[in-house]
Amino acid sequence: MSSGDSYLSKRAGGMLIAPLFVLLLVFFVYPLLLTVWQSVYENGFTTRPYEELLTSTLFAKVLRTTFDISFTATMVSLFVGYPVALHLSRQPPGRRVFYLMLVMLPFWTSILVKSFALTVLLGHAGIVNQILGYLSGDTLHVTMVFNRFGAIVGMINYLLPFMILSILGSLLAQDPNLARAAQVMGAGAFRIFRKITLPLSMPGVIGGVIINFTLSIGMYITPALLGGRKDMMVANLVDFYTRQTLDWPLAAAIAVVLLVISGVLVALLGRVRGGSGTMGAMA
Amino acid sequence: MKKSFNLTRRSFNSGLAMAGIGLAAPAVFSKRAKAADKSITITSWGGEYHKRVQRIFIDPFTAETGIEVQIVDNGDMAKVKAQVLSNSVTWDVIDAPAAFATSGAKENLWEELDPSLTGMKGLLTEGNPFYMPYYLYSGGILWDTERTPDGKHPVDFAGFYDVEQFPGRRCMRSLAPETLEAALIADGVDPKDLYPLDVDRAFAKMDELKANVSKFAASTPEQVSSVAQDEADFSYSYYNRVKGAQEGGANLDFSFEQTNNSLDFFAIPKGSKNKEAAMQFIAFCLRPEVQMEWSLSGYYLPNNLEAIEMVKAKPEGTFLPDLNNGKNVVINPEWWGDNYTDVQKRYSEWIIT
Repeated sequence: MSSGDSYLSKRAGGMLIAPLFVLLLVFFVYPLLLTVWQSVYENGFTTRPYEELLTSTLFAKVLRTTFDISFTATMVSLFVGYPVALHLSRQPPGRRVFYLMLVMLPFWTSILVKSFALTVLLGHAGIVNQILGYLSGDTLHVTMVFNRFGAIVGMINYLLPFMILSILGSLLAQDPNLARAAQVMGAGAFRIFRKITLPLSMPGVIGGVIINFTLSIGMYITPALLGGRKDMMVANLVDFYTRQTLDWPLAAAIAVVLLVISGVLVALLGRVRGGSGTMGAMA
Repeated sequence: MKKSFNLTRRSFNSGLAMAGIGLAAPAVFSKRAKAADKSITITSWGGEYHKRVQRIFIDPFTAETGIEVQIVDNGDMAKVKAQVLSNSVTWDVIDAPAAFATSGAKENLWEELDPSLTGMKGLLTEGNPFYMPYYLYSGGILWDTERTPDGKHPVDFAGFYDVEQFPGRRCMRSLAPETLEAALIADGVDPKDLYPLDVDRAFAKMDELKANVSKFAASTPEQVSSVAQDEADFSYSYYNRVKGAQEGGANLDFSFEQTNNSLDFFAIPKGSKNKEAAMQFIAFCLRPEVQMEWSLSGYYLPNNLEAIEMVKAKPEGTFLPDLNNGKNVVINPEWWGDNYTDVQKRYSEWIIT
């Protein structure tokens, strides 16, 4: 972020981002404003959609589930993703590219296909349960889909690459001399990690968490296909009001509420130490 | 545009692509212009369904009238509403399940139909001023023939709810229509006394079953895949879906003993520029012989009485549910039109609690 001014004037920088700015203005900000407008205007100003949301137990429950699931999925993704990113950062560049391709692999398959594949893999008659049954003499059987576990597994499959890439970015940006200097001064491997590597990777961690969380709260098809009856997400409700009952003001109001809540959360996270410059690590 | 003659492979390829677009564009435009008054666009539901609409409705219709028909898949109500509100209607006939047809009428999204359609005689269910019923699809009980051979599986709604006699995991729809009807029938309501639905009684009955439901299917294919993949033992689904899975090698079967029969409709979005041709198309699809073909291809109940007799006369026509046997249900779209939002909200809430 800070190095930008050194070789580009403000004006030139502005010129470079202008096309993107215009694009976002037309295709993001304008529709967003329309959505906000739709939530407060039906033949005159109204607060009907918001009043309905406030009194809706369905909405309250689903909102809560959405945040529960999103939080869990993000945390699991962080704890699984960090070691992977760490390992990747210590590979020679050639091998790292190969491993990175493996990380990106889930992106090459449609979410729908992946979800059905996961039910085949983890289901009642799935491969994992068959192996468990074989090893335990048909006594052990674990229900892994159509419950919270299944929803989280399906989401992680999608979320992990974002987490890994984000953390990897800030691991690779670290000066290796810092760790070397610490080693010379007698610090052990764990101490180096705790005092140098981990704190310096925080921008990547926070960036990954923000991206994972915002992606999670908008998720829809994966929890619907792999989750249980209680794992309904807010996006499903938006879909219900948009397509099934054609109550667009209410759907818009849900979107606005979700946007405000996640906006506040992201802003709070961004204030955590190391949070500034987060987006730089993403690129 | 012209940069240099130093042609790399990439610039050559992109140039080729541009040339391709340039060459193809006039063809596309002229075709459209020529077809403007002689073509309609209808919505459909993809896959096999799309292919059957093409073969049974569109090909003979175009051959007879010269009117070309384009199919767009998954034309849902939100898109119809967006087209009507923005005054840019490009679809002329919508294949609308009951909830679409009635909510569209409420939102004033449909053109009024010709009296020749609304006054059409010899139909099982007569036309409404805004939407035209053209067939019924039957939903009933589905099971795996190996895990639960005859005698071990339910064949009707009472059996579906009887966990003593038929122990096993159930898969239910995540939508309320058809689901509440099945619950009420299971609780002993006579099919002819169903409407207006006793919603509280239906929920009380479903409460009894809830602990035995392993899956609420978010989509229709899941109703079948849940049983095929051993995630549920019995499910509510549709015969043509089961038939597809059978042909794919799954050991599934379906009972016509007791079914919910739901109407499917055609409607014309307000502001369609090809209204006349659209009405013509709808009338064509309601002809007895066309209805018979449609019925046989997808195991549907035709809305044309003559077609029903024709299907019955066929050896393969045994799948037709007998609507007068006192067990089969015809879903009432008007009741759901008035109550869908509230009841579905309650049902969604019931599912997640």
